[in-house]
Amino acid sequence: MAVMDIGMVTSLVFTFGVLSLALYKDNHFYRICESVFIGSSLGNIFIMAYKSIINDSVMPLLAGDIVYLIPIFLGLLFYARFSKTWKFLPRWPTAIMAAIGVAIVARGWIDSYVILGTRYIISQFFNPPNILVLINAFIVLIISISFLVYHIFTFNVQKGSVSYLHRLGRYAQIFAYSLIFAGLVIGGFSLISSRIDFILGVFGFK
Amino acid sequence: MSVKEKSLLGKFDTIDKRFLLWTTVILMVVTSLHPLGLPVPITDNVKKFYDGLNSLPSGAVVLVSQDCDPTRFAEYGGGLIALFKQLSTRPLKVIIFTVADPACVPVTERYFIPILKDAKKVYGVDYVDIGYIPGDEAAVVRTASDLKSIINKDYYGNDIASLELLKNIDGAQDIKDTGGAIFVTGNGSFYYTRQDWTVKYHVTCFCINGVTDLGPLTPFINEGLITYIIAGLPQCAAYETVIGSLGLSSGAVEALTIAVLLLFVAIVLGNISYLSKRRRQ
Repeated sequence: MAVMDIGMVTSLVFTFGVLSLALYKDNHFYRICESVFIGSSLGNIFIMAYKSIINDSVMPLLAGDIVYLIPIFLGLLFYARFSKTWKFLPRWPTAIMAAIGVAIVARGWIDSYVILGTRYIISQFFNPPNILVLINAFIVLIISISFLVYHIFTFNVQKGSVSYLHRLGRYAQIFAYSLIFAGLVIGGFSLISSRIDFILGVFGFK
Repeated sequence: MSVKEKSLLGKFDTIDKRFLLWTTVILMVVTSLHPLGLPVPITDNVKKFYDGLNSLPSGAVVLVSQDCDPTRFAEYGGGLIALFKQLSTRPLKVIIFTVADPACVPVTERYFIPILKDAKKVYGVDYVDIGYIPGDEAAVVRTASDLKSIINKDYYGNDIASLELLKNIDGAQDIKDTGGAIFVTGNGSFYYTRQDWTVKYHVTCFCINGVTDLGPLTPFINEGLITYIIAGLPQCAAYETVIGSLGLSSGAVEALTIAVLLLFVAIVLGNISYLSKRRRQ
């Protein structure tokens, strides 16, 4: 048996606690583990964020870089929520953050998903290294169109060629999401597998 | 009107899920204790990943965006440990930070930094751990063009200006000029592959991720934004085999295979049971 330190014991107890939900039923032991996990994660995030604000905003500000007043001021506006008179103020930093976030993501998506993606698919049609790549490109093209049709024609499409594309878009999504779900299940089993390895190691079986 | 089932197959689609979970766990325990010795196929992409890292020139600076949090560690943490083991055998300079989630930082400290220390790498000269950089994708954009503008201190509180490794490194172009690359993982992979690091500066991108991420990352692989990729526990186990250091993934891959096989059998039997019942109704 491995020499148990406090970290190992805690890890073992919490592993059993979390597994008890799946292998037995909802219980107080599991609830405690869940709450401790959420609490400790938030505590960790708080400390990281605090350190980051001190190191990357407050310290440069104290060193004379007044530009950092802007993010600090916008951050402080969130606390206006506690005032009945000024509770609208948090909308400003939220709007700025959302605008910057959307702009940055959209900028990246246009390049990588739209332009490069389209260029890649077109290039596969003109210069396919083998027949499988050509078939793959054709499938991607058809599914992309059917997906767009599905989301543009949101009303009930019953007849005509659009209805086939509409239906294909729906099936393509079901297929894609089922693959993602399968991946999640395998990911979950990986977690259990690694925990089993850990438990067996702690009790000296491995 | 429902038909009362007497056969085991007929009852299969209404079986208590705990029965399946217990069976799975017991099978996984037995497999862990008595490995079947199933071969771990070493796929082309794993070989390419290994060779790609080995082909980086001596003295090159690489950035590892360590965005694997504790919940994902079980799936591809073994691959990341193997990555750091391979990195530590090469004369490369390593910059580590996290952009996706502060919870990734303790993972770095617990599992990866000790590997570099054991390899006698010198902090500040051979490797630097910056810790968490807030701002998600916006931070990634900034790190590509002007890294030092958003960080002042490293994870241990040292002044960035005092770290020799970072003296000539201020973004993607500098890393590219040294012949270096970026290693991305977790949610951070998506930030780098759709922003300047790969799209504008074309820095060689290595990626270690979960199976679930492979689908959404496929367009980036096709477009050449991700040059090398290892995805999922089996490929991480193969990577451990290639570097000659079996670890976390190799220990878990057989149990995973058995669990997935059982799940597959359960799905097939459950559907046969359901369909046969429906036909009789």
